[in-house]
Amino acid sequence: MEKGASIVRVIALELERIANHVGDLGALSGDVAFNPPASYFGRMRGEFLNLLQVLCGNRFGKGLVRPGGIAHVMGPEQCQLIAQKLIEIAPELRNVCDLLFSAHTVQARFENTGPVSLAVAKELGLVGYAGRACGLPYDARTLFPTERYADLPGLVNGTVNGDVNSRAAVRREEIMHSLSLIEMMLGQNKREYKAVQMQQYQLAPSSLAVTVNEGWRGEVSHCVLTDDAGRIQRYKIKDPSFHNWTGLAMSLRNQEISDFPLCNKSYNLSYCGFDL
Amino acid sequence: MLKVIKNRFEQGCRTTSYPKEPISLYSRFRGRPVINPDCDRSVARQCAQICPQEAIDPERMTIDLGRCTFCGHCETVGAGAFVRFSQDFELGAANRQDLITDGRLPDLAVHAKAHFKKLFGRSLQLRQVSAAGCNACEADTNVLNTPFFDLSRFGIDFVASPRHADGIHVTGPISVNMKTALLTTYQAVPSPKVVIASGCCSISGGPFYGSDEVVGDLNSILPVDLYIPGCPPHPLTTLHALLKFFK
Repeated sequence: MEKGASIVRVIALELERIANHVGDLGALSGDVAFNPPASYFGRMRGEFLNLLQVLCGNRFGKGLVRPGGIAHVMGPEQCQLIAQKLIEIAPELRNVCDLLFSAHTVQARFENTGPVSLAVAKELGLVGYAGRACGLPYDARTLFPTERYADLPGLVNGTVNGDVNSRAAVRREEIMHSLSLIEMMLGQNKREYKAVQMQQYQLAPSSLAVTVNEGWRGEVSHCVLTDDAGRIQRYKIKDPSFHNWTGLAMSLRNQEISDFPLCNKSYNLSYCGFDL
Repeated sequence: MLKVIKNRFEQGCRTTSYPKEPISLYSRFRGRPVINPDCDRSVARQCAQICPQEAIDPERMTIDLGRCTFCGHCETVGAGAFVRFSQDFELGAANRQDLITDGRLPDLAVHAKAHFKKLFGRSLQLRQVSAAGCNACEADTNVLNTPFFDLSRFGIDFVASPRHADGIHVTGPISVNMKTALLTTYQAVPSPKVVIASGCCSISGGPFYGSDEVVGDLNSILPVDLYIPGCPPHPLTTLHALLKFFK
């Protein structure tokens, strides 16, 4: 795949990560009845979805990624719009994060709520921010780098106590990290590559392919099995929710019922992702 | 407290003045498609052939917005010789046939049932049913509650029980496993009630059309009053449809 296309893929993935983390911080804030950041984060989440729309015309990035490349080339105009918006919104994000994390009422509810120890996290194989908040450094972007990730700096998380506070703090750190990744990628934008549309592909017969990527919630794995004519025999997607559901169950041990929504939101798992 | 005030000043008022003032979306946004009537029939056939949703009828020169996922693939044929997607996000329709279009859509307000406007014009409570949706429709409906859209200023809210609702807002292709739950939810809403199909999945099955595992067309099991096309519908598409149909 052309370098320019993989740069755009990284930008899109990081925009999606920021949008979801920002939304989650807002929801966590709402769950402890601290409404100002809940509103501000909710609005700012939309700004990042709108940047995906700038890239490819869809707020969820639908229609961007195609086998072998991307369907929408990022021109100087899109590059400029994204860069401008990031400059505008980064200080706002920093300030609202500071508002959330420095409020003592929030700290009292976040800290030591729903803790999971590193030993338990290792045994369960937690992934994504849930694992990293327990001190498990697994990040598919650094361990199995795809696209441009091999050239990009990883992130070491500072707050890793395994509680709701850590899962929130890891999100905050990842938002800031992703902002810097996008900035780096925008600086390397290439123009000499072509948009790729859907084409007929002949898959290799009797083959098994597995991919691992770091989605916003954690490790996403796709596995495809072809028959002897090269047709798809089985296609299995494994969502991070599958790994992390038991982590949520462990978080809830000996907790007050009233902390359930908070613990639940700190994982923000997908029901259908688990059922896949 | 000082930080709350400081952030309040920095954030300011962000609520859109839509629908009082028009709002324009970025040029790459794919909204209402416009078909070129003078287009060569062979180009139209080529578009129909590559459409993954079988949404294009090359003989009648129409596109079915109930099937279309707005992927934009057809627009790449001959640089938009047959169809171009405009930035018009006002796509809601009261009749399924209206969605099969050459690019023109009838005024939704005219087609809205008068008694709905009388009953629900000042207060509309909806129960959302995600019948195997991918969460894009759900998430982009949910954002209507953020300060930018601020849906509740129009007296429209999403509620946690069908007993409290005036109607249901359905997303997803209705998997066979969700069919009973959907019908039970509908029955639990007190009459008179409205049914809204949101996104191409609930209108036609979306990318899952034809599968044995989905019902696909919501109208085949419940009487749909309002169709909101898209994959997912832009939040403004939903907002426009709700305001035009009920206000």
